[in-house]
Formats: sequence, C-alpha cells, structure tokens
Amino acid sequence: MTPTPSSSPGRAASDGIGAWRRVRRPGAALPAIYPWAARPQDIWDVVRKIDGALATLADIQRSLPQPHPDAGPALGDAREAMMVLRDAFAELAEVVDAESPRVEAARRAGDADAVRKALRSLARADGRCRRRVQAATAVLEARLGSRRPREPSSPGPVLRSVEEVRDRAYPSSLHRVVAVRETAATVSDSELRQLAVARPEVVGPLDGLPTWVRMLANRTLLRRELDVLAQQERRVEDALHAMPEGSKVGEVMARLRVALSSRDGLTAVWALPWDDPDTLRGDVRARIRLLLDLLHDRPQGQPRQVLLVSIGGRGRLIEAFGDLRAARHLAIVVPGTGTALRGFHQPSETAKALAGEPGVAAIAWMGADFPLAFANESPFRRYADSAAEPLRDFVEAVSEQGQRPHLSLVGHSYGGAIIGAAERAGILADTLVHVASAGAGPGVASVRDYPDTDPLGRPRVVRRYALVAPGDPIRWAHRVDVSRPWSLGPVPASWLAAAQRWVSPVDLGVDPSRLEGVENLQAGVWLVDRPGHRRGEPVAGASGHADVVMPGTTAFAEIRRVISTALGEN
Amino acid sequence: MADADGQAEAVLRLHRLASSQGAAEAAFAAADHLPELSTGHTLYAFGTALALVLGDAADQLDEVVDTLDEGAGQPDEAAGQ
Repeated sequence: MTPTPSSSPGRAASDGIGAWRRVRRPGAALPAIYPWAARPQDIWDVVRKIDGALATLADIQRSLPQPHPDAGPALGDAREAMMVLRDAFAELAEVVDAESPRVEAARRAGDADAVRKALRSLARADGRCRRRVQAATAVLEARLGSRRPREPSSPGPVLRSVEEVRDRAYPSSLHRVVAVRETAATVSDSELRQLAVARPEVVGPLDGLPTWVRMLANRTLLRRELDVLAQQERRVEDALHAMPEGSKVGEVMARLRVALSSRDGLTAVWALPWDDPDTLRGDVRARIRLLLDLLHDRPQGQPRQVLLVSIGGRGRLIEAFGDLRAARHLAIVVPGTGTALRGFHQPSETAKALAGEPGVAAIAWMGADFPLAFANESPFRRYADSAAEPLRDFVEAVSEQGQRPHLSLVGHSYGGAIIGAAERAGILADTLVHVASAGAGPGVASVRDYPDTDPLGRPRVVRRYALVAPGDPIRWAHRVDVSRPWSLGPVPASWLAAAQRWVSPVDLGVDPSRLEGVENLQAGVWLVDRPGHRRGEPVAGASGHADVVMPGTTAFAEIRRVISTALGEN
Repeated sequence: MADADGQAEAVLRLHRLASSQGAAEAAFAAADHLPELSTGHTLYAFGTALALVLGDAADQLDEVVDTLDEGAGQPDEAAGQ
C-alpha cells in the first residue's frame, strides 16, 4: 500500500516533491511547498504549544496580586500576538488537512492541473499565515520600541573616575584590576548601581568592579545584544530569501562546508569563514536562544549570573554558578576547542555540576577567542597566548570579593594549554587541574618555566594535577616537543634551528602529566548508567576525551575532590 | 508577605515563559522544523519579539516584587529597633 502523506511524512514529502517537479512548468512561479504540506501534524503541534503558552500566561495574569502600569498592556499585546499565531496556524493546518489528500490523489491520477490547483491553495494559505504573523510581529515590535528608556541621575564624577583609572597606563593589566578595585571601594553601592544602569558597556566587562554590579550591567547588555541579534536574523533571512535556487553541486558543497565547520555535535574539523547565510542563520538563532535563556531562565528560582557577555566575533561569555560571595572553594572551568557562544552549554554543564556541592561555586569561562576546529586552529598556541592575561586578570577580579576562596582552574583539552599560559603569565590560583590537556602551556618544558610570583610580586604556591583517559587521542598533541624537535623523528643538527622555528607556533607545552610535582589522577570508570555507557565501563578511548568532564565518572569525582580540598584539608 | 510571595512566584513563571523554552518555543520550533514554509521565515522575528515583550514585563514586575519585599520588611525592622 502506498503510504499517505500523514502516515509517512518523509516518504510522502519526497513523493510530493517528485510530483511537483513532474508537473511543474519551466519558469513556474509557485514555490516548492509540498514538504511542509505533507506534515500537518507539525503544524498542529505549533497550535498545541501556543495553546499551552496562552493557558500559562492567563494563569500568571490571574495570579498577579499587584499589576504594573506598563507590564499590564504589554502582557495584553503578547496575548493578542499569541492568539494571532495560534489562529493563523490553525487555519493553515485545516487547509493542509483538506488539500494534501487532494494533491496526493491528483498526483496518482497524473492530473497535473489538479496538483497545481491544490498546491496554489496551499501557497495562498501559507501567504495568509505569513501576513498575519508579520502583522502580529509589528505590534510586538511597536511595543518594544515604545519602552521608556530609564533615565538615571548622571553618574558623571563616578564614571569619569572609573574611566580614568581604567585607561591609565600600568606595568601590567593585573595592576589595572587592583586599581579599579581600589577605586570601586571608594564609591557607594548606589553610585555603582547608577553607573551600571547608565553605562553597562563600561561596567559589564570591567575586571575589578564587584561581581554583583557587573551582573546587573550585563543584564542590560544581554537585552541590547538581543535587539542586535534580532536585526541580524532578519537580515540573514532576507538574504536567504533573495538567493536564487542553487545548483546540486553548490548544495553538496554547502552541506560539506556546514558538516566540516559544525559545532553542534563533534568538534569541528576545519574552521571556515561564516559567510554562508545558512550557517549564519543557524548561528544567530542559537545565539538568540542562548541570550533569552541567560536573561529569563531561572534555575532554582534565581537569575543567571553573567559576568561577561559580548556577541561580537566568536563572542565572549562568562557565567557563574553557586554563591560567589559565600563560596569557600571556587573553580573556574576553561573549556577547549569548539567553544563559542554556540556550544557554551558544555562548559556550563561542567561548572554547574561542580557547583552542586555545598560551599563550592564554579565559573564557566570564555573570556577570549577559542580555537574552533582541531585541524587548522587548535594545534596553534596563539589562542592560548592571547587568553592568558584575560584569564589571569579575571581570576584576580573574582577572587577578592570578600574572603579569598580556595581557587582552582580546571582546563579541559585546549583549555589546559590556556591555564598553562595563564600560569606562565603569573596567575594566582591554588590548584590547577589539567584535564585531557593539550599541553602545559606554550613554551613550557618544566615547572621552572612558571614564575614564582605574580606581576604584583605575590608568591605563587600551586598544586598541580593532570588527568588523561587511557587511549585519549590528545596524547598525539604531546608528540610535538619544541625543546626536543628530534622527538618527531631524526633531525640533522643543521636543521635544528629551522625545526624549532617551525614547531614554535604549534608549541602548546609538554605533557603536563610529566611535570615535576604533578599528581596524576585516575580517569577510572563510569559510576552510573548513562546513554551509551554502562556502570563499571572504563573511561577510555576517543570518547574518554570528553567523558572525563562528565558527572558520573571517576574522573569527574576526582576533579570535584581536588577543587573542594584546599591545601591542608583532607 | 503573602502578596509578595504570590507576586514573586507569578513573576518567576513569567520569566520562564520569556525564556527560549517558553512562549517563543512554538515559533522557534516551527521555524527550525518547517523551513520550506514561507511563514517560517517570519517566525524567529515573531518569537524573539514575543519573548522580549514578556521578558520586559517580567523585569518591570520584578520591581513591584522588590517594593512589596521592602514594604514587608519595614515592620520587622521597626520591631527590631
């Protein structure tokens, strides 16, 4: 029996495309609409979801004891818009329910005119739906445009003072953090709050200001960045709409390009410029979702704690989990290759899981550009070099928010090379954990390459740990040892200087597990059943590279143990 | 205090409705799963605007919660003096 469109959407869709192509006249203006028309259940799903959201909104409105003069009308507009979307999709679904069987019947009968007629009816319904959604969007955007901007009293002298301290020349950027902190200590909380509201772009990223005021400023920045992203999405959509239908070869090349540079699943192989509108659209949409969640998701009823956000370039994002002021132990998770705004959920999940213990807070750090692909970016040291000082300065900024906690850095994969670079720049941390680390830091051959003091002259006392799963392919990264180029193979003496110059850009440092005084931790086994893994299964092989930072493994339990044990504690 | 608690709970739900998994989710999912639909090209703009309107309202209502909290705190502070 031939499947009907509703019983087998994928098959029916491809049949439908074939039918459409067979009946389509050269140069016909009708769009190829059959794929969605074969999936009425997807369209009804939208109606059901909106019904659920409308019910939730009505319930919230009923349970609000105190209204707000602006919020009330805004919620009314939102409700109206949701009803427009609901009704538009319900009408579309009804047309699809009626027309799809006619298309299928006409196709089987080879009646091209009847196919065209039914498809035209579907296209008209789609157009009506689009116009109604656009009108509802316009109402919502008018509401957003009418928001009265807050006009706080001018932060004049405070702003000038903070900017003057920020822009002064210092022996190192660490001195700037201390100077900003000292200045902030002379300013009242209310003045800082005013500054955050008036100039969030100054306050949000400035190391040395209290974390609470940075979080406040970053909420405003998140809101602004969402406006920018919404405009970007619209521009990309317009560009995609204006594109002519591509050739088969072009389509295959575009798919290959996306597969190579994708960051949703496996780490990308090769980073490519993002000028492909399809890739751009996916990226912008993922950013919109992430920023909406950072603004309005409320885990355990509390707002998300954003210490840095920027959507420019590869993006910057730093998020804290747990109570920073009360924490006795603070861990900063520095992730590896593939970290960008899209994909930030991975370090976030590790940090969130580490902060699950009492007295422990954790931070997912993306305060610099990270390599995006393991073939053409992660072998190079430039990302680690440029992340070293921002990480060192951030650690200084968050570790002096009251009583200094026991501070750990957890560097995973390329993040290991970054924490090594930060150590070379004199980062003041108590514990460093190299997890499946790409190297001990650019140019590091032994612990003597790390300084004994930070740039302010304070002594550094560091406990170092390393953890690599057996069979983790990261060990190949350790084959390049710039101090011993012949480790790659026999190199004639006359070639040594040239070889050293050649390997220098790819020098991420020696294997940290070989450093003097390093304690090596066990990757162990899976302690729980997880999809794809059974309790008792060793954490090993290629998947072990990522599994070592997954809760539920011996490796993760070991990381948790060392970050929550200060020197002298057991 | 009951008013403040009720308001806080309702505003918390409104914040969640403004997240990507809230009211906008239907529009986002439709745009992602039905790209051939010409309506699909308008749905992210719709979902984003909807979430922002709800989120702005939630932020404004947070201020009401703060006011209620302060009001509820005053008698206790006075009693403690």
